[in-house]
Formats: sequence, structure tokens, C-alpha cells
Amino acid sequence: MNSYRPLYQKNNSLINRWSSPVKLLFVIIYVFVISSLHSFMMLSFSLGFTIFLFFLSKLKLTRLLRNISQILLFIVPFSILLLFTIQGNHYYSYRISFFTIKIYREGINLSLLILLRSMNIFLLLSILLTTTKPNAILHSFILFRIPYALALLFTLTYRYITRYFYEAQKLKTASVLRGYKLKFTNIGQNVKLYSNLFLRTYEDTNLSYKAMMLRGLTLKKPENISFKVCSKDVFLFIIGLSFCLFLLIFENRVMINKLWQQTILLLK
Amino acid sequence: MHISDGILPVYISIPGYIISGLISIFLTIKIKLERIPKIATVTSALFIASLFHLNIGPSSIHLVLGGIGALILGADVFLAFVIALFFQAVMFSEGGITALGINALAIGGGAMLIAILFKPLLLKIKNKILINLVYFLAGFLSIFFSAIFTSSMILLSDVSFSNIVKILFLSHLPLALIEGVITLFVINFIIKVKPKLIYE
Repeated sequence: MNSYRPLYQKNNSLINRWSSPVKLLFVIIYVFVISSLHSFMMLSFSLGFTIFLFFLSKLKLTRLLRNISQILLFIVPFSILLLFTIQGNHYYSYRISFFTIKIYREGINLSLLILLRSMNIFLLLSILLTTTKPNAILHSFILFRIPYALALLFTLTYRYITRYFYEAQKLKTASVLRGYKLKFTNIGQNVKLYSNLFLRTYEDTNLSYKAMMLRGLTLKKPENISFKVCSKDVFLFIIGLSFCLFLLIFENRVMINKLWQQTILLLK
Repeated sequence: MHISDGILPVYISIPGYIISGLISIFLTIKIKLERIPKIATVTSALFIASLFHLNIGPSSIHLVLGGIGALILGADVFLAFVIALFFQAVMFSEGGITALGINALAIGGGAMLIAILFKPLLLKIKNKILINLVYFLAGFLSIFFSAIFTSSMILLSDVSFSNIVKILFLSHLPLALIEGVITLFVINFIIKVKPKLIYE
């Protein structure tokens, strides 16, 4: 099972001090720019820039390596499959009794591209989440006109996830104290246990929600959301945006050149 | 079944976001305050279920609980999956942020379809064998529809992915069977202990 660790880390870095809505907007734009890149050179540049942002955030190297290993766990099997299944220019083959294993050049290119893009995007998102408080992200969403009920669901879900782990720990302790060891082979038994866990957590969360409602919680958007945005935040955003534009222009330089020449011909 | 970042081109991921966004906004406008803790609890359960992995060949699969979510929440299960997929993408890089719209349509859309088809039948069917079949099909078909949609989107992004799509689709059939069985057990248990959760 994947281990759950809280994400936000209090730090005195430039990225931590960057205003949350501006940071979130830059990350959203950058993520879509990365996903539109198709050349190794531009993806390597953008990965270099993302790693530079990582070190600007004063995050530990062990965290970088852990983040990269998490993404590799999911992307590597998919990338390996691509080597053998994308048809094209044959690169390498190996014969085993009746059949031949073939690796294609297009498969190698595509799997490397996907690997670079995924690592880049995931690293960028982990920078955002480690340097921004969850409340600040949600208030930024509200500022961007995301419906308040949806933002409330995000907050409560994040809060109730820890509730499940707490109830599961209580269940495990109670069963151990009664001399019962949980086995994963008996589906019926495990389903009853986990359904029980779900029902207990539901009762608990329902009570805490009723308490919130008694304290005046409604679906009306809160009025007191405010962010300080100074010239330094805007300056950082402009630098980031310029880098995104540079990536897009350089990626599409041939097409832009053609369009430019056609425009000049038309004007003549 | 999740599509990771870097696979889908922008001309597929942006329309996916727009359609998922419109469905989410429509469901959010209709939402009532009393339903919020139920949706949040089920969403957390969906997220936690995804932490349990099973390795099948070159890929790994995890429980989705789409059928269970559909029978408990109805059409609001789409919102639950949007949120659960978002947390999965940011915390464990399962799926991706650029593919969130398409993943939400695949998994949440499949579950929402099951809710629309099967939830009205829960009160109408009295035969025990038939109702158990409904529970099983809710779990099985939620994965089946999601696998079909995900495969189509990957194929739409690049036709050369056809072989990989076949492998991924076939690797989800055992998961669909497991989900059907688990949905059958879980819903039967919840109806015995707290039927209000399903029939409300």
C-alpha cells in the first residue's frame, strides 16, 4: 500500500513566499505547455527549469529522488510496453525459439518523451503542493470562480482521508487486542471489516459536519478571502510565462517561420 | 486504467477538461448541503481503495469501487471521482493532471452511467437473485465502460498505441470481475446494517 505523508512543508524559500493564486496560475499554464512539447531538447530544457525551481524551493534532494521514484513506478511499465508495441523502424531483435522480440526506434522515442513529460509535470506539482498550504490552494480555486461547494468537498475529502487512517488503526489495534490477526485471503471477512470501517467513518464525519453546520457553515461563498500580490510575485510570474513562451516558440519555430514568410508575402 | 501525464495530446485533454468541468459545475449547482459529508466520505473511501495495488503482468491495477460509489451517491459519484482522481494524481502520480478531465470522464462517467441505469432499479426489484445480479453488474460494468473509454482515448491520441491498448483492456477484465464480487458483498452488508445510506 502507498504510504500517506502530509505534503505541505513550512520553508522560507522564494517559492514558498510567492503568492498562491499567481503560483497556481503559472503552474497550470506551465503544465499544459509541457504536455504540448514534442522535442527532446525542449523537454530537457523544461525539466532543467523545473529542477531549478525545485532547488529554489529549498526542498531536500531525498524528496526529489522519492518523487521521481514514485512516478517511475507507474510510467516505466507503460514505457517498456511501448518499446515492443509501437511499429516502425526496427531497431533491435532477439529470437527466442518460435518468435522474435523486436524493439522499434519509434517506441524508444515515444517512451522517452512520455517519461520526460511525466517526470516534469509530477515534479512541478509536488513543488506546488509542498510550498503552498492546502487552504491557500482552495482559496485560490475560489478566486478563480470554482464553485464553493466543490472547493468545500475538496477540503472535507482531504480532512476525512486522515480520519480513515485513524479509524483503521483503531480497528487494527482492537482486533490485535482480541487475539485476531487480519488475513487478506478471506474476501467476505475483509469486505465486512472494511465496510464497517466505512460506516464508522461515515457516522463520525456526519457528526463533525453537523457541528460545522451548527457553527454557521453554509454553501455561500466566504467573503473574507484575500491575497497579497506584490510586484515581486508579478515579476516571477512574468519570468515563468516568458520561459513558457520561449519553449512554445522554439518548439514551433519552423511553423512560425513559415507563417511569418507567408505574412510578409501577403503584405508585399 | 488511469492515463498518465504526457500521453494525451492537448487537443484531447482540453476538451476532456471542458466536458468534465461542465458536468461538475452542473452537479455542484444542484447539490444540497446535507449531501456534502456523504459525498466527501465516499470520495475518501474511493481514494483509499486506490492505494491497494494488484500487479497483473506489465501493469498494476487497483480497486476503483465505481459500482459501490454509484449505488450510494447516484449521479454525484462523478464529483466524487473528480476529487479522488485529483488527489491520486497530486499525491501518488496515479493518472495525471493534464489527463484529469479524460480520467474523470472515463471512471466517473462510467460510474455515473451505472448510477443512472441501476440506482432506480434498487427499489423496484424484489427478487433476491436479480438484485444480487444488479449489484454484481454495477461493479463489473463500471470498470468495463471505463476500460472501453480509456482505450478509445489512448487510441484516438495515437493509432500506433493499438497493441498496448489491447493489453491494457484485457488486463482490466479480472479487475472488473473482482469489483463485481466486492460490490455484491459490500452493498449486501450496507443494506443489512444501514439501508438508509443506499435508499436515500
